[in-house]
Amino acid sequence: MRVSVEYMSLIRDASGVDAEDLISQTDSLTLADMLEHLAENHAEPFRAAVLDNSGTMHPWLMVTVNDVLVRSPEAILRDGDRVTIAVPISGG
Amino acid sequence: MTPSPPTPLPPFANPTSPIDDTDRATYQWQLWTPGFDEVSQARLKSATVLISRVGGLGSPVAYELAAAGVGHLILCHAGNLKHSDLNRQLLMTHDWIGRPRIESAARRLRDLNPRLEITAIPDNMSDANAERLITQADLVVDAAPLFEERLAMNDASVRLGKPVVECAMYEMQATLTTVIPGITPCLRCLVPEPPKPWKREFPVFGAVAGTVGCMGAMEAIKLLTGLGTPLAGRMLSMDLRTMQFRITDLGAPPSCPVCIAAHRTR
Ligand SMILES: [Zn+2]
Repeated sequence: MRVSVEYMSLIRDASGVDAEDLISQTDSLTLADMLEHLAENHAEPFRAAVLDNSGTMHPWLMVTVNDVLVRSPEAILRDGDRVTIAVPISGG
Repeated sequence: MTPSPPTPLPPFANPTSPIDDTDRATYQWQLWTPGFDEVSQARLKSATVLISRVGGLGSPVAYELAAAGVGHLILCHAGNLKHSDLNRQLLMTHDWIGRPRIESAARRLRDLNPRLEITAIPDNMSDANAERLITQADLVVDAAPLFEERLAMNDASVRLGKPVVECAMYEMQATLTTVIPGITPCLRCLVPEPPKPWKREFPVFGAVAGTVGCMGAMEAIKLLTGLGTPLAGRMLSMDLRTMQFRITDLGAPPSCPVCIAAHRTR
């Protein structure tokens, strides 16, 4: 399966790229699995930007799948899904 | 996971102050807009909007609302003007360096619209003042830099049942959404605690602030008058580097402790 991932705001700064594809040999992935795969593919500070010390997704991370906000790390991703990952931004 | 359809909403301001001939002349061009009539203009004239900070985001929000004929603005902004404010805080001018920003903002708004009533608060929003100030408003626009301020204002707005337009920016990106207490997720539903990586100072152009600030003002006008379809439960994300605009469905219903407690008491 292939998932397209787009980075926004401080996650884009941490990843160093605007977007990339994640390819997995499985038919589906949880959101937590996807973040772990991405963290393995990137050097710090990316891991710290998306996961806490115990490997759990930060509570403030904004992840969308096919333009719908997804809050559960157990949400299932499938081939062709479009994901965005961002730290919420402020102002002012 | 398919996006849900936008929710139709009633106007959030009552047309208690009728418009006069000066209003008819001043607002003639917007009164030609389909769906916006003299009752809509009276709703704006009768409305009170609170804007938390009138910096990069809040300056264009306040200016456009003053231009559109909103009757009363409550503005909150502490501190004195610095050179580094001037690339984006468009209600500030070089001659005001070292003087209170809130005074500069009020002065510029009165030049534009002398009929505008302004309540200028030289403080930022916090748990200490949020409920007292928001209770006076029909609608709130969040243009504050720190998530602590934003969450304090969010919590009070949800408790009081006041809609909030959330404007945000970073670098060449911006986001905009509208919180309708009891109907849409609130800011705390989306951001349960201040994101640790967010910093007080960050890269940004004034044109990014202006873009999302003007959109936030349009969103406020729509909510006050019942015009069009606001971004309730949806978030517009803009990347002005690539000019990619996207709308995200914010999905789940209100779920944070503040929303649940407010729903229980209502
Ligand atoms: Zn909430």
